[in-house]
Amino acid sequence: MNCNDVEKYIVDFIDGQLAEDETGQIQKHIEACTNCKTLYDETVALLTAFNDVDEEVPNESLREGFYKRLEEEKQLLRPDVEVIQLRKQEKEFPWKRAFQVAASIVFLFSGYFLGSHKTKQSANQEIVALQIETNELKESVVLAMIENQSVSKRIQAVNYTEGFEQPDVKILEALIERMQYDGNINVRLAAAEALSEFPESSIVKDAFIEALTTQKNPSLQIAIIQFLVKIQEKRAIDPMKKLLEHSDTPDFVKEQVNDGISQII
Amino acid sequence: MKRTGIIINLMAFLSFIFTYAQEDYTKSLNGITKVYIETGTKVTITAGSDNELKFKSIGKDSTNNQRAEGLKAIYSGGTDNTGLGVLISQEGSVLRVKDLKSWMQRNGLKIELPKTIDIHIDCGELGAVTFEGFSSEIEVNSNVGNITFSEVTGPITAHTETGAIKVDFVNVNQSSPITIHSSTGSVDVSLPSNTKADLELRSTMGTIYTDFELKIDAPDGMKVVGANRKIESKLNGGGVNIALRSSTGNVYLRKK
Repeated sequence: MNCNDVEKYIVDFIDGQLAEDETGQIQKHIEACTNCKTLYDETVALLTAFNDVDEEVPNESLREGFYKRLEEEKQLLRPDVEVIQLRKQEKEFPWKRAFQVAASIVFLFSGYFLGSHKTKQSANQEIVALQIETNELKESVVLAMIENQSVSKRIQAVNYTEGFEQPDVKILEALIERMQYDGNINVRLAAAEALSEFPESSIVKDAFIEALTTQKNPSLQIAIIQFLVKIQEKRAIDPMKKLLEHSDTPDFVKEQVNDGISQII
Repeated sequence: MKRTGIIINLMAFLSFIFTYAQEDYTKSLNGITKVYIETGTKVTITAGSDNELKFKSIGKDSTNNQRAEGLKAIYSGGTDNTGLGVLISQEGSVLRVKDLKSWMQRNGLKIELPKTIDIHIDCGELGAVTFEGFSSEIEVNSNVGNITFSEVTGPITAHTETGAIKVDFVNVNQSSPITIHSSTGSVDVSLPSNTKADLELRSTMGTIYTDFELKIDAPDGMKVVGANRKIESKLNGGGVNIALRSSTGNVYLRKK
């Protein structure tokens, strides 16, 4: 125990707040060290002086005087007396408040984005599932409508397939049937046009090559030729040459055939 | 007395004209939703208010063939069950009307049908057809004859090989597509300016003319293969599909 420690604990020592061994050590030190003894005596004197001072209580006349003055002021305050608003002092910009607000906004948004990111992931999965479901529904609508008695409805069914990216084989077969055998040329044309959206499919290619020899309508022939030329189908060259030999092929179709043959390299 | 005679004569004359001008044949269309017509002549079909099929001023077999007395005319296309050289039969909700006479014998037909009944007409080799005032679905096929529609709403599906097609819409039914196609003739369509539609215009060797302001998305950097030039455009934000095409004829789309 040195003088510094004694100085630190002296108040507690006098108050008797310390543990027994500490009290003993400080007692010994004070007896040995004159400086600390002086400090001890002074502190005791100071604390005693504090304790001796009475608590000052304001006397009753002060309270009475206050209320009296307040009444007087109230009397002075009349309705016709204009109350002058004191101009507020220009405050310094509240940087601290601003920082708090900014921090809370940042916190709010980061929370929102985190949350929306998480829900987005699950929503995306749901959307994909829904899209698959919608496509299946559309496909069944197409299959149901494609044999409708009304020509316009059949065309509508054919047009529906435009949105399909990879349609079911059933859909392609239904479209091919329309292109080949529908009683109405407009349906056959619409089906041919819808089928030309799927040039990768081999059954579509085969169907177009077959249609080239069976279809007699010039507009349909032109549509078929244009598709086969576009996909550079070499198997189409022979049936196209046969079309040229036919006497009932209109001249403008022959023109398309010649043009097409020259484009298939 | 003399005046009374004149009046009576006049009345008799008027009633004669009136009866002469009346429909020669009517048939009720209860339970019928669609009429199929097959004929080889020039037909005018107008919309009426009664739920009846009416042949207007159809010529009765006027040849007073005395040799044919007691005999019956027979036709290759079927049995005449109307006395007009027309076979009418019903299949469910469909009424079939088949003109048994050839276009050489039949010099035009005038038919009145309800405004809302669906009509399918096949004009044979040389027949032509004119429609007036229908708001139902109409399907037409003709070979060389012209097809004309006035004051219709669609849906319309029309095709002709060499004829011209002219359509005047009062407004456009949005329920199902309109397809108008002529292989070598022109296609001429008038639409109200506020029509909502997805237009698809195509002429392989002809030209397309319009006074609509169409926004056309021409694909950049893509080679035009063959002559397959299709114009696709949305009218007033898009709507029912309207496809107009001609292989060698022109396509005219008019705003009214």
